Amino acid sequence: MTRRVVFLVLSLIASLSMPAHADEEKHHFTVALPAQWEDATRIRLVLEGLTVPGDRPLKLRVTTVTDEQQTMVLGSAGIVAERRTRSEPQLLPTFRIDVTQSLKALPKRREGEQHLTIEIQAVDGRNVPLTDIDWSAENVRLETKQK
Amino acid sequence: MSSREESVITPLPSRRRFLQQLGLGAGALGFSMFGGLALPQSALAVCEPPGNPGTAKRWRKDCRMILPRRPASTLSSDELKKLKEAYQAMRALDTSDPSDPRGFKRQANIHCWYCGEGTQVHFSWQFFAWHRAYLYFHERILGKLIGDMNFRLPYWDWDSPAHRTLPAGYTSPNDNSNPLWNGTRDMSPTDEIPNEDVGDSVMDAALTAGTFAEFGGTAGGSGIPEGAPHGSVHVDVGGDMGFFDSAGKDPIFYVHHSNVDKIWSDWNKASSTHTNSTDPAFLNLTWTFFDENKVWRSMTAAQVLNHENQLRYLYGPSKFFELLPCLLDWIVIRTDWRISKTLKVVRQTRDKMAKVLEQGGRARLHLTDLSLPLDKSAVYRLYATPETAKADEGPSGKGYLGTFPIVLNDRAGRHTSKQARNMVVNLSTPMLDALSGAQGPVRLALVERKGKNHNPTVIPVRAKDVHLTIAEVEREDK
Ligand SMILES: [Cu+2]
Repeated sequence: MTRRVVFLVLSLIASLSMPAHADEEKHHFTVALPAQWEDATRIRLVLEGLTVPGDRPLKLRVTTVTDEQQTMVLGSAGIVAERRTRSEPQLLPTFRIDVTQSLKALPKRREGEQHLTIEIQAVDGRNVPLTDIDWSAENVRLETKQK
Repeated sequence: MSSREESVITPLPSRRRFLQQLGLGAGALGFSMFGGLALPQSALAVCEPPGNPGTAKRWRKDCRMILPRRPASTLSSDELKKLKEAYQAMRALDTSDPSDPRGFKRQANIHCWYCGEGTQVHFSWQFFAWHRAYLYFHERILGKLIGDMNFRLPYWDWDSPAHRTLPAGYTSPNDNSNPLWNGTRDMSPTDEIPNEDVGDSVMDAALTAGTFAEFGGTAGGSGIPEGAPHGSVHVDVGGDMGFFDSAGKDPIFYVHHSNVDKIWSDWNKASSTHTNSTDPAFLNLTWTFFDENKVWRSMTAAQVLNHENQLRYLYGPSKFFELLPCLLDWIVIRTDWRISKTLKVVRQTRDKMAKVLEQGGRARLHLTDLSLPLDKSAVYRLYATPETAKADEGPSGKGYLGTFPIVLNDRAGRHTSKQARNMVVNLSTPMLDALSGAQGPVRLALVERKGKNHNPTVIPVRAKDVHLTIAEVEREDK
């Protein structure tokens, strides 16, 4: 248990040195559309090196804006927080959100388009954006499964 | 740190990673570093380890009847009453005996301990199997507390659009007089789980995941459904459900996870290629729980893979057929009928049989070579005494034991069948009581079933032999 004490002390030091808020742009990503993604049986957004607060339950909600300036929801998935009193963040090496149906339902993409710009927002149970929390992903990419 | 802990994400590995980021390897974790800081464990621990440190007994083979877990919305008022009684009894243990591991708080703390405080079964292939085992023991405890081992948990089928609000029983009444209520929820009784969290595209993504790794995860990563729909519903309900350390404090947790467990079951059924991991590291995952008798038990992932055969429940609406229980042995209990032509069920026998019934086993009464009028087709009712036969109150009435039809084989009214007419009655606990003389000396009697207001002729039972049998449904592995 002494190790736990050590850890709590160290994490306290670390949390003081972490940025308090994320800037807006941080959660916009441009992801490459994998080859033949339209024929894939499954398309998933993979978040690697995900860091979320340990004391706030949240959903990560993925949207994109179409050429017609319509915001479309691509997918959403929830992350249970560890506990209300946890000061250190929760780290997930990989976290996947399925976007198969929504991506295929997007209005026809421009010919030869190879990238997609998305926004990932942390939201609460009612899908209200949580603007006061900090989360990050080291890498965001699309992955496909072919038949 | 064991290799299992290495493979999961939080909190222990995150601590290590975190320390590494600070330039501290595991070797730097000398206890002398912060020598004076040691606090008592209770000052820091959110929850204590759920079990005793002794050697766990192996989980026993379960041979109760295979019964359905049904949608919470389809429970009859009697079933809902039973569910509430079970949670009421579980909550009562929190105050009457806080050390009883079957108490509600202690049950909730299992999730707390396994999901962050002591180890972490989320974000890996432990997720589905561990929760199945946890719910199994939880369900058995609830059953034991209401004296019905045939009790099965319901499930909250939020995937069906009509059932996106919290199941009615969990919000009505919406206060602490309801043992299924939890005051911390963000969701009001009229709020619905958003379609994007549990709708067709999410369910389709879960059920069409191609491999177990994609569906159920790997040693170090979660499968698709753990985030959506599972995690999303936790966040949507909110309050205690939003946190690993407190989720088990909301009774909705168990019906939510029952549906998550059903998705695993449905995924397995959806395709012959949807098979679970055969990696020994997965199959040998072992967890420990207290059972309904407060016995500390171990259970492996391999022991939960077939919920119908191993854990004795299935999903879906109650089927018209009764699945046969895997009854271990029928044990015959002889009577002195052949000598005395009367049936005496002594207290000891009655208690032994009642215990078998309580466990979900079977108890039967056998009448061999029964003599009945053979001049007509008729249906006869069997009663424990001539008085109850005369009253003929029917299946839910006093002394009733069973019904036995005599069907003539031809219009001429002759029974051409030479088969002995043997009657077998499945006994319930009230029937056992009737047979043990609670309603007067047992003198088995039959009456012909007719319409109401008839004056039944009581026929004393004449049979070559009368005996009893029991089938226990569980026993310790040898
Ligand atoms: Cu859960």
